[in-house]
Amino acid sequence: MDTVTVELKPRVKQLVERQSQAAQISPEQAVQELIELGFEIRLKELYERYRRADCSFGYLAQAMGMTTWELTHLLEERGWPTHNLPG
Amino acid sequence: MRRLIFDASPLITACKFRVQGQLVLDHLLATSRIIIPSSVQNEVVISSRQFADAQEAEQRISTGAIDVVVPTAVSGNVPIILGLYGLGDGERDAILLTYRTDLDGAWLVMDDYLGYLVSDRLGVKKLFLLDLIPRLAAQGDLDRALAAEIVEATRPRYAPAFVEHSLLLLK
Repeated sequence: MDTVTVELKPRVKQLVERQSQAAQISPEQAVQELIELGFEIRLKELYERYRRADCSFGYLAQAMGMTTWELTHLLEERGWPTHNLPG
Repeated sequence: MRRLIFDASPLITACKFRVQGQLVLDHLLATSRIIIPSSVQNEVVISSRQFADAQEAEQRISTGAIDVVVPTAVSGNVPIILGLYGLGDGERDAILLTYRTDLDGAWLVMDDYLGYLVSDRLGVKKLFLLDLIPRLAAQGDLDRALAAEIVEATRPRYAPAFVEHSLLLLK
């Protein structure tokens, strides 16, 4: 796992502190959870666009920072259809 | 020999499923040249560190069974038109390859719905992989029973209606 240093905006910092206390986890874990939540939201948003044919599979993969092979395996693991053909 | 330009989606399908002990990809390579754009090859190289299906593709690229071609500059509005849509590099480059004069007559095999529609609006000769299989059978390049097995094997990758349609074409 890579480590990065980021400066949190005051609102986000407050959220991290609150979440850290409420869930009894470290601030680092709270930040990690927020990032994962952001990834999931972004993936769902783009996947919906893909299913509507607003964007292609390759576009979706690139926007998520992965290859089409990685995206295929990720969607298969989740049981989400990899195609966007009607019918 | 027939020439087929693949973007990533049909290549992944062809590398994922085996029929009669052989990858679908190898059944196709028995009668056709498969060409991919360099952007699709780049993805194969990255993904082969992680996935067995990508390793299958990389192996065939390294032995020259799959050709890798760089799209050349296309004049006119085509690049601008392609930029209007939310296409990835692989789909865009696969469409651009059809404009190379040395690939004149090649078929684009494209399973992405948007990519297919854009290709259609550009007047590009294109096929879904599920249309290619029955066509190869109709032309005598693929045994009908084998073709039906291939369609059946790839079922998890497609909408049910598309699979049933292809199977009916093979009866």
